[in-house]
Amino acid sequence: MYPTINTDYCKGCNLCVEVCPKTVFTVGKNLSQRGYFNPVVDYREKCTNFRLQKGQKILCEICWLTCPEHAIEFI
Amino acid sequence: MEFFDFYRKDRWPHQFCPGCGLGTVMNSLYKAFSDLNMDLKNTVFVSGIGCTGRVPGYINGDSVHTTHGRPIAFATGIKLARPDLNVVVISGDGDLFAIGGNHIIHAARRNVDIKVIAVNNATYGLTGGQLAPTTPHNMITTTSPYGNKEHPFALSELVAAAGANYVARWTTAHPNQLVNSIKTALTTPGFTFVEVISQCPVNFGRRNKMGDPVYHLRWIKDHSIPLSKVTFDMKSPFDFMDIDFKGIYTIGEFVKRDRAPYGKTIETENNILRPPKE
Ligand SMILES: Cc1ncc(C[n+]2csc(CCOP(=O)(O)OP(=O)(O)O)c2C)c(N)n1
Ligand code: SF4
Ligand code: SF4
Repeated sequence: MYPTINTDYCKGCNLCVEVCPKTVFTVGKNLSQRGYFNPVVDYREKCTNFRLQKGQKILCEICWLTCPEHAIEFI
Repeated sequence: MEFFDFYRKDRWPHQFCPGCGLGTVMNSLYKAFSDLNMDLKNTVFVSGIGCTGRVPGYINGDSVHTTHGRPIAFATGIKLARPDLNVVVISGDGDLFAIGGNHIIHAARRNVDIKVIAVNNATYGLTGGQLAPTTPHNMITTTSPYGNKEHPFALSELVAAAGANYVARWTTAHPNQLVNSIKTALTTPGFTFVEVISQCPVNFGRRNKMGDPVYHLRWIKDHSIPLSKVTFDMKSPFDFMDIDFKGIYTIGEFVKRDRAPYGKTIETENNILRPPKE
């Protein structure tokens, strides 16, 4: 499992970039359709949950908890 | 419970500004609820006016959006009329402690069985960032352009002193601890209170060189220390809250008591109030 960003919800606050202890996200440079600079999930293999299968208990969800827009989803 | 069973998907994305801490508080509230497997049908969410007051409007359950400063009064009434319901108050610092200050002090003193989540963003967010009783010393707001010359309220210490059963303060930079505290608050009988120091980058941060939510979150993190690390000479609320002097918010669980809640000390039988049978 790794985080993905739903560009319909993300408002580009970059809090996920700040809180992730493994620096999975990087600040985005391309404007989204809604007019925000959404971060990109650059290093998904660094995520603590990367080796987990779907349905297993998530180990770290600090980005999910912090994201004010509920834009982060684990797939 | 899925996230969008708890919140209303048709209302998403919500109206809060980019990077506002209220979203983090909403996530934590959902997490606490789904971890406890609580039923939305037995819960009423009460809020006053303010950005924070908008939160219950997004919840897929029953909510009461009351007049400015009065959510505690409404919640007390709901709890006494229907003791079977869980009553949760979510409101801002201005709403609960400025205009509604007396209500919360006396609700804590009576130990009414309601759960209060107070989001302290140190300003009046909704109305454009005016000076609030919680604004730290020397911080700039629209109504204090030369810096705040007053000293802020210490909300958690106040409620703890008034007699609440459970009091905790966390920040949006500590969401995991916040979830645990909300869970404790929801399951403890009596008046329980969780204060969340939250960022308002648009109306508070922007005027204090923290317009970027990331800077504001960092500032909150740098200015909070756990209660266990507080040295003895910093034990008065004045020292806790003055960002200008010692510069910190103390975070952690302040009290856990076991006083009998207000609803339990009186009982109604055929609409006549009686002391409870032993
Ligand atoms: C009786 C009354 N007085 C004043 C107002 C204006 N007013 C609306 S919201 C608000 C302050 C809300 O601040 P807070 O509770 O801190 O919530 P925040 O927006 O910061 O989350 C004020 C003063 C009002 N709506 N009603
Ligand atoms: S925290 Fe959420 S809203 Fe903010 S940039 Fe990251 S995904 Fe977007
Ligand atoms: S004004 Fe402040 S508290 Fe209100 S939504 Fe915007 S950032 Fe949040």
